[in-house]
Amino acid sequence: MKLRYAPELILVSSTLAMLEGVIATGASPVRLAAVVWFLTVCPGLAVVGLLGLHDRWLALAIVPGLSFALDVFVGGILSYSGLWSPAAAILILVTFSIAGAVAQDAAGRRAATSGSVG
Amino acid sequence: MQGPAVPAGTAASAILAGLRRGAPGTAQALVVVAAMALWVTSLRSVELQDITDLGLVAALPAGAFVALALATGGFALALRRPDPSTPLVLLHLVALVVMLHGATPFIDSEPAFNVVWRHAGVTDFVLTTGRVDPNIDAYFNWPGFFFLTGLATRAAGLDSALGLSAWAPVLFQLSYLPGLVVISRTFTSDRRLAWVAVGLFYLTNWVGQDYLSPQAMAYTIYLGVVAIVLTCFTRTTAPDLAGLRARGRRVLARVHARTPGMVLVEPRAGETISPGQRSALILVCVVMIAATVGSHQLTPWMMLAGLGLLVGLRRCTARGLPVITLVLLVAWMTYLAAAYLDGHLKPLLGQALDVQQTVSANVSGRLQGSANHLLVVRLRMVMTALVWGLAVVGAVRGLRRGWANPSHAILALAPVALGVLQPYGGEMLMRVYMFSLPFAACYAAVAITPSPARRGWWVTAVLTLSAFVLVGGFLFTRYGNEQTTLFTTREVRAVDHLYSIAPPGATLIAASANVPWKQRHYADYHYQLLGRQLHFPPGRPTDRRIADEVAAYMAGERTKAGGAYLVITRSQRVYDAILGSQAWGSATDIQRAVERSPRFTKLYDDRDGTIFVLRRSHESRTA
Repeated sequence: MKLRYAPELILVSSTLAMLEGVIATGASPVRLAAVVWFLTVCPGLAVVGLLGLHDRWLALAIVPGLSFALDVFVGGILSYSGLWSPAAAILILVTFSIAGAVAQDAAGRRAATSGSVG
Repeated sequence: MQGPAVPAGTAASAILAGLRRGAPGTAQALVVVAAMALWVTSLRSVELQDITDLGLVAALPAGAFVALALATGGFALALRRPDPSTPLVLLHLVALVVMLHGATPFIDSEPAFNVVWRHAGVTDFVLTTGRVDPNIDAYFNWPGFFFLTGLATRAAGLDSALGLSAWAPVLFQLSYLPGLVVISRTFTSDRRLAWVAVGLFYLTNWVGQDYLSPQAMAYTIYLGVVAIVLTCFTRTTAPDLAGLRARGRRVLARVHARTPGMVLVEPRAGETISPGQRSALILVCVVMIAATVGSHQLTPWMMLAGLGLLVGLRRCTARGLPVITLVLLVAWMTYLAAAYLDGHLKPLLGQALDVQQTVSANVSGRLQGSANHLLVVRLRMVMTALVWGLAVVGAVRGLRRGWANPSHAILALAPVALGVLQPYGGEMLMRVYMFSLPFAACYAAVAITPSPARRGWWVTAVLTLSAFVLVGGFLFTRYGNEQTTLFTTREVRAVDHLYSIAPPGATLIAASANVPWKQRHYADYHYQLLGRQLHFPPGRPTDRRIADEVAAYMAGERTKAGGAYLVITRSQRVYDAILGSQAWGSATDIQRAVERSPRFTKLYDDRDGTIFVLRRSHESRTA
């Protein structure tokens, strides 16, 4: 498998793992780990994967900081607008992450097509 | 597809050769995993009461020291070659992070640090009300982090954000790792040196600001922004710096005149980016800075200082970033933190540039407490001075070798400028150290790493010795206050009992801030600290005098909704004994005085936590 598909796989699998944990009843260390992983990695990775950075360490350095920033933004906007709902915030972040995965997959396919045509 | 035929003997030899090549690495990996297992087993045998005012180190069994020695020695051994194995070095770094920064959950089942309990309380307020009330306190004027903890708490199905706290230090420290790698790799193309710099950061980051807190999250963001700037917006992509560079070279050439003919070089150029990527990365930086502006008071100012100096000294091509940071800061303070600044701006400005007060709050104010605690504080100062001293030596050594890393020097020095501006509650020196550390560690690495021409065993010996000294110091400096930061189950139960008997609206009083409370009902009670409220003439007051003052204060603090409750816990008594109490007395003195006085009733006593109220017959008399 080519490495360029890794971000999409990480995004989709992390999101599914988190959702599975949330849907399952009761708190557990696995659910906690899945949620923390999702909030630390997925929103940032959804964006960073689209930046086309060659330096993987740089991409990794941006991911947690940008993820925290996006989490804060979503929560903050909902709260200050009087629409605070953790479920809505998580739904927005999940949608954002999946959209990022889809966009990265599409970009990857476009690049592969143009490469093979060229 | 059929490949070329390979004789069986040749294939076997190739496999054996491969195994031989990989065997030392595999053995090292197994050793570090075993060291982690030994560390965990050793920590589980630590009893809370064995921890003294010297910190955790007094209670550690021999196995823990062996485990640390194996992991640190293994890290040095992994760096014996100029081109070390990245997976092996990473494994050692992760192991060291878990061991050095994740010790607490193995020792205590209760969340550590009273501040973490308060942060859980702010999160609880956000979760239950869905809003922030800026009139409550400073946290609600910079609430960004608490939206994140609120989301995590609900999504994980937890009752309280305290459930997130156990592994927060390890999570945050690991989130720093990629940023640190980028910073060290933009400092040098010598991969071994870069890893030594990252290792140094973890072995000398004793400040302990990695608990569940806004500053820990903001620091991750800070490192991300710095990584982008150093990689993508460095001066190598600036078209107009040739003249400045030439002038710099001439100045620097004079510095190392002893090696004439040497050319000053900088490490490889940053990532080449397209205009589209540049715009996207600027936007990413703005989003990250904006989130920090709304989450933490200090970090955006550190960002502003670093970015401003980089741009001002023409080391950064993203010239708008400092301006955007300043605009965001001013906008936030004007509109969303106005409630806090209304009451605090004058004292904050009054402290600005008051160097005497800053030094007093950050240095002399901390030099008090028990003899062992003073030793810990002095070790912290020595460790700080050692890192900065090594950084200076490394900078000079680098210059003599022909390396120039002005951006890292600027970022190492930028926090110092803010250190003079504000005492930040006596924590500014620690914060300055923390923000300069990623860059100072790069220069310090140059000071302690032997030249690449040296033999591998010499490099290993020097790095091992350095790492042992630093880890030894780390155990004292990072875990020196552990007796005060950890809470027992008994005292947590006492506070739980307090919440169960005190009606909302009542005043809850403690001797000092070191209490595991406020994790819920953050705004439902009035919280007060006797240490700040009681005033006596010089000299030691009698027990009766203390009891009278406490009774008078509690009578005045009663509210219509409920009475006033005094809670004295083990950690308050220990805090006063180790870190120093008020001139008139300590939490122990208050407890003794109140217990002897007929004016109080003891509602709860569980050795580690005691709750008192005023007797009804005495309330009216006192009032």
